[in-house]
Amino acid sequence: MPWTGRGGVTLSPQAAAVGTGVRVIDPDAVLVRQHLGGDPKAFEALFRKYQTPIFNLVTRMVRGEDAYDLTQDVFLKAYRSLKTFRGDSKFSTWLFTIARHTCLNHLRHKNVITEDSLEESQEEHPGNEPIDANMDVARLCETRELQRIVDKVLVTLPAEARLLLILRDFEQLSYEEICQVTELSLVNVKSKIHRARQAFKKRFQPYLAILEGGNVR
Amino acid sequence: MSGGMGNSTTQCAPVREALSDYVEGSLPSPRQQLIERHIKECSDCAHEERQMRMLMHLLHHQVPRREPALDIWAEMAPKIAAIDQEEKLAFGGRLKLKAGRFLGSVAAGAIVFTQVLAANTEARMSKYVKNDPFTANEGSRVA
Repeated sequence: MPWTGRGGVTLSPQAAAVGTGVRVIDPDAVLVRQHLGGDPKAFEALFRKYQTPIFNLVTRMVRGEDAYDLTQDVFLKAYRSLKTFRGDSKFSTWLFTIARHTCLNHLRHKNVITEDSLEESQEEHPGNEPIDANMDVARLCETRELQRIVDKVLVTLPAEARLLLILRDFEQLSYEEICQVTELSLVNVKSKIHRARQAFKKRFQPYLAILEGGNVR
Repeated sequence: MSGGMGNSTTQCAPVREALSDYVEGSLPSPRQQLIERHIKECSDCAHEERQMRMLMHLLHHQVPRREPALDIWAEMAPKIAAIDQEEKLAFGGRLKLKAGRFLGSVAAGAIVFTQVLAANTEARMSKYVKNDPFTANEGSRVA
């Protein structure tokens, strides 16, 4: 097993692969081993650690009440197949891959997946939707308001662009991790993320103008 | 069109394409410097860069994660216990359990199907049913 070092010390796949001699213990892999060894609390610890990132991804992908059921589905699928987790990738990457499949299958099943390209969806949402006349920097910077507006813009993007933006800009996964989750090449991932950001920026333009005026940074 | 350089439209396109990588600092150093120089001279690209930087800062640091308001674990724990229970059974036991669940679903489906079929048949056949002569005028006689 690639993630088990000498004397049962568990290594992160990166440390093992790079072979720098520096042993970095991957706490998730330790928990997986403990779970497989029969510790009933180990999986709950993994769940507590990842429930927010997974819920965040799921709720921004599907929106609505289904997010709770789908989050459960992701963890139940992970629970069932934890025995097959080989540790070739990080546990978090493996979990995000399950979440990606679950969300896309759900959207396909509900017939709400948007297979159209960014260009086609750009025609439908050119970014000039009217914004609230009372909107100003102070109101826009309120957490809930910002969250609402960002999600409103995000939902106008095709599913794949939305997923890539969430993984990179919200969850801040590395490009390599995103390649593993999406099964795309690095060049493809970088180019798609760039185009997704451009599309998001275009639709978010009225709010950016407000923020620019008030200098959000 | 560039605000700073009249002939820079051809230079602007590749700069715009690489802008988010530039903001992230993930470009090779010579390319990073090339874009930096261009941005200093081109006001349009500088504006684009400023906005992209602002957007990425916003998404990375200012938009909080959506957190679950309900306790998902509380709802999930019994399902996990059921999975554990199922996995503890021997192969024969699991087969029996799955066969039982399958037969249960088939039986429930068959009941629903026969009910729908009966209702449908009754609706289609009702026009052929003759009125009972003994009870046909019962209502009017009582009245």
